[in-house]
Amino acid sequence: MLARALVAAGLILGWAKAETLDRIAVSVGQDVITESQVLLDLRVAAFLEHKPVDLSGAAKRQSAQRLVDQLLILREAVDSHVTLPATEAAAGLVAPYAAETGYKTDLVRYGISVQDLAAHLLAGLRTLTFTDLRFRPDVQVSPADVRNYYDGLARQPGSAAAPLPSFEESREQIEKLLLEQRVLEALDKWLATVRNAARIRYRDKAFE
Amino acid sequence: MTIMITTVRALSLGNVRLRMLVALFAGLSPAFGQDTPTARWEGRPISRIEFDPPQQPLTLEELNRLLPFKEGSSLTMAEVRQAIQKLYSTGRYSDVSIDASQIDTGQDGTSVALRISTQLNYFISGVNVAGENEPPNRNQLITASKLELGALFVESDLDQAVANMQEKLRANGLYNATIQNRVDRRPETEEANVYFELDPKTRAHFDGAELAGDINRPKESVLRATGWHRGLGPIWLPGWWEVTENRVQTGLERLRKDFQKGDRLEAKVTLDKLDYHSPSNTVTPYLTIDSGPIVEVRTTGTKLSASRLRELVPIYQERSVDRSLLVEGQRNLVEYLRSQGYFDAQVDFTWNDPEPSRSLIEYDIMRGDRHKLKRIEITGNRYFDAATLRERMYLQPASLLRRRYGRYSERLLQQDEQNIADLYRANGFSDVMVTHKVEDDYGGERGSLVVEIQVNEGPQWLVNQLVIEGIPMEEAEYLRSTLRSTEGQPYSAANIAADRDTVLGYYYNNGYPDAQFESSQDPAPVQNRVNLRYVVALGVRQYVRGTLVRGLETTNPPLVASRISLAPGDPISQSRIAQSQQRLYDLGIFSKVQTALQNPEGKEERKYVLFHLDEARKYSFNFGVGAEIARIGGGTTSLDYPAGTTGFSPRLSVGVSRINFMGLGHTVSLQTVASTLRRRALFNYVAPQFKGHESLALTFSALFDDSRDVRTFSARRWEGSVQLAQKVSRANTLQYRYTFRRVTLDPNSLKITPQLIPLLSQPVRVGLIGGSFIQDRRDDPVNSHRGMLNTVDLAYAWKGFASETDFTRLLLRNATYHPLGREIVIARSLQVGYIQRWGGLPDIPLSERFFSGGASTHRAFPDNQAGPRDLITGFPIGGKALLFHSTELRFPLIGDNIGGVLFHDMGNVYSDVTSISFRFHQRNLQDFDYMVHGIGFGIRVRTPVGPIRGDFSFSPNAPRFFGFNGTRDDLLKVPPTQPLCSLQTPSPMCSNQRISWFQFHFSLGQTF
Repeated sequence: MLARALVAAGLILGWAKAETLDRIAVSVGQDVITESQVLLDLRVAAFLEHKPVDLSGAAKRQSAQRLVDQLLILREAVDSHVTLPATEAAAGLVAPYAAETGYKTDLVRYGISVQDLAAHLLAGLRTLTFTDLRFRPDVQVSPADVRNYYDGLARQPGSAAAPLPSFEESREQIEKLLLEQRVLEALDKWLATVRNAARIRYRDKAFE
Repeated sequence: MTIMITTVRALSLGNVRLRMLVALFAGLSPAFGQDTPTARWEGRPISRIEFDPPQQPLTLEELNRLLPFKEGSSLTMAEVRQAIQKLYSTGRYSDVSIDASQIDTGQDGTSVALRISTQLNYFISGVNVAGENEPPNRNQLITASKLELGALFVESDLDQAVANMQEKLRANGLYNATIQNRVDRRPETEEANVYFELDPKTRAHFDGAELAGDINRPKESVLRATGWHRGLGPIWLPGWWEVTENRVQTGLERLRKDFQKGDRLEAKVTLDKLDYHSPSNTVTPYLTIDSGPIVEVRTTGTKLSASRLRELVPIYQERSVDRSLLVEGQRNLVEYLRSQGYFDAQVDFTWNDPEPSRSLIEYDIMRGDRHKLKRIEITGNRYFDAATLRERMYLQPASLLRRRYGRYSERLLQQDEQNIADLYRANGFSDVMVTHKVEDDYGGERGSLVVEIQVNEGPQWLVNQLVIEGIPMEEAEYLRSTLRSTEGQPYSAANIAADRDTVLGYYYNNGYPDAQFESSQDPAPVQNRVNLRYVVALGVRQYVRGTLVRGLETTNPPLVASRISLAPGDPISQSRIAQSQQRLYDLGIFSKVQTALQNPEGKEERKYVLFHLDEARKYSFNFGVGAEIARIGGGTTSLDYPAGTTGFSPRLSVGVSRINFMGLGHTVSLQTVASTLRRRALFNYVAPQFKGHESLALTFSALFDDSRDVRTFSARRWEGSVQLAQKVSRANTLQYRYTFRRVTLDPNSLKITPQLIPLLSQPVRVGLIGGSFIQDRRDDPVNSHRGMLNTVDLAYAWKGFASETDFTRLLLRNATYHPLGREIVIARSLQVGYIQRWGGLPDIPLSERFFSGGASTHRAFPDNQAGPRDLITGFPIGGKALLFHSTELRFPLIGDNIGGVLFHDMGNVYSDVTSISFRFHQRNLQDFDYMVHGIGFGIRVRTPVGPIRGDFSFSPNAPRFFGFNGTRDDLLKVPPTQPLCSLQTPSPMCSNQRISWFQFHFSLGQTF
């Protein structure tokens, strides 16, 4: 009896010191993003930007939202048989960082592995590839759009002080910029629709 | 998202500026990353894994299979994440977290104990509504709740469900209705049973209507048209009706129709809103009315009746005018004219608005010469014979009865070509070419059309080899026997599609809901041969965790369980679920049987199958009023009209039945009929699917019948019987029964020779053991075109069965149906009956004899007028044998719904089996053992309940007989010694009578 009581007490004390290894942060239908994935994302992002890791609730939520979007994009890519960059592409993404001094020390300092970094960069590349393949073909920028944009810039206060390059000189750049903007707008619009249909549920406890 | 994209974009392009920034801040950034769970716990051995709560919806075996780690293995954070994902993916949990605690293991150091904390999900296992005041009814409210059986239950969905139901209630005038809800949860099966308790409060009334728009008439007239004000026809009664969704819609529709009168086809009535006034609990509908223009439709070139125009131009049905509808009208007109033989007909139309409020549509018709499709010739066909191809064609040559000009149009011709080509392609002739040649004025006959369909079959492509991959060998072998595209068989896309359905259907019904099928083909080395390859990806197999039956109130659960053919551990099979659902419906005690998989989206191997049953109303009542007009007339005591005269008998029927008696699925019913000819009460106790055997049905019956459907006597019958019916196969049924009855004849009603009255008026007690065999191989029991029906009915009455008299009765029937072409049927029926007395009473009692003749046996006779007759009174006295044979030629007459019949009936009821004769002539007025013939013509009008039948019959040798000139009292006063109605000595008291040569029968259903 005493032995049992001691074991029980030990267990209680043991569990009192227990630490949560991981928990669900967001569920997206039948898929989950765990708290550890959110924290890892924050650490890798901080590593890339050479900033302190921001573990505030707001930062966690922003990271979770980003991961949700990546998940939705990946799902859509699989469903629509879009070919995304293979895992091997990650090596090329990591290479520029690996060449930097203090790279390995920084990895340790931020508590991430090379694989974590590679996966993070690959996810970004895949998102970008999907966006390009899915939305760019439908986006068009007319000469009038380019002209309007240029005229808008010209009308902005302060443009007289620093004269703009000529329209012909700026046209290609503006066209690229508008194209990027519209692709991103299309992506955001699509994501908003998909998010509504995806049964996304955030667990507040993971964002405390 | 934008930030992420920009960052990655920058990186992927090797953005130098960003890399400089990264480098710049590298030295400044403090390290926050080292103190992570990964650093603390990764690599430590797992000494214990436990769940919180310990009782989990998944078995330990399933949990162990799901978890990527086990006791003794080293902890990795990736596996922890994986474990959470896998557990969550099962759909069984709403939340999962994993805690770790350190355990000191002595000399070896420390290990880690994992606690997996879970929160359960719940799934809807039933939505129940109580307290409703129809409308809306319970099912409408459940549908409005949008809570789906088996789906994940989310608290927030409950609020939405209540809101949806409130909206439905408001649409039905229940503005103050309140809804309470509660959820019964069963953690052991993760069920959430949702209950809604309604307090509907008082239904709101209309209080008028606010009108806007182009009305052009008094408001009162508009309100009257809606029907929202109480009234009796044109009389306006005080008060307004209650608001219901149906009444609002009906009112709007009536108003729309009212405004659309006078060719204002486009009149629109729009309900803008229903304005509710809480203090008075009334509703004011706000309507906007647009009368629209007057639409006039005319034809030029050819006259068409207004009703035909309305039928063909869809603007009248659609109540709207647009170009597409007018084009459809144009097409319909062309088709109509071509169906009338104007195969060159052309129709054009114009549409303009001569005045602002008037539209004029003019169809210009050039119908051309009338043609007749004389013949269709098919040439070049070798693989299929012409008859097979003709079956698939819409074109029809002219025939005398149905289509005087045949059926022909360019469109139909093209469709026929397409159908023929499709048939060939489906059989491997991928290069088939079907063309046509139309010859007009054929053989010099003006307007005669001959269509030649030319088929160029081309080579037939066959399957050289079929390889099936992705499934076990033995299953592949089995499936191969069910596939169309096997070696040597025709190769076609249609066959591959059919194979795909076969394969996927097989796996869907064997627990593989995610099975996928792909096919590919390569040319084989042999000419016109193809090598086929089927690849099947099975996915994860799913099994039945258990069946959950909900919604039962009074039904015995074992009764339901015995109808469900799914057991735990069985592969999930949609066909078996549907089969179980059908068997539950077959019990006839459930108004709704819903089935679903619990947690349909969850990735788990074992799932519960849900059955939610709504018990039907226990009692049902029926009431009927009818009348019979036939040769049933004549007094009950007078001896006039032994062959009957036209009479009228009103009829009233009342019935009540109680289903699911004592929750056993049995039915108790009482059906009563009262008419001037009959009083009848039948009590039945039916146990369908007796003792769980679907093929057995046990019936107990009690009958009281007081009738004079045989004109000779009135009989009162008390009868009890028990019958076990056994469905041996789809076509064959056996019935075993014991019947006991007591029949008393009213001596005062007997219209027979007085000397026989004491003998035949005795009450008779009969106990019979009997059985029937029914073999029904007809294609359609209501209106058969092919097949046969055989019945054998054998009964044995014996004193051992409490019978006063011993006899055997045998009745055989054989009917066959033979199609002649597509629409003509030859049907024939033979009935043979025989009664053999063995002992007991000196003769077969009147009530046990064969009385026959009439609409369903021999149409040369009025009902029950065939066979032997009393030699003095001429009334039928029944026989001990019968033989009837009928032949019918059934053919289409007018259109698709009216058919004709030419028939010949022959036969009679005979005094004894030895007296059966095929003799045509009646020897004398006391000879009834000869064969009576009847020929005639009938009309059949097809209706949803079967054909309505009218038969007119002529009999060249209808029976003649003696009738007694006087009353029954006169007959009784005749001394027994005085000879009456003798062939030798004519008596003034007797007259020669006969059954009319002409008979008319009107009834429902085919004769046989």
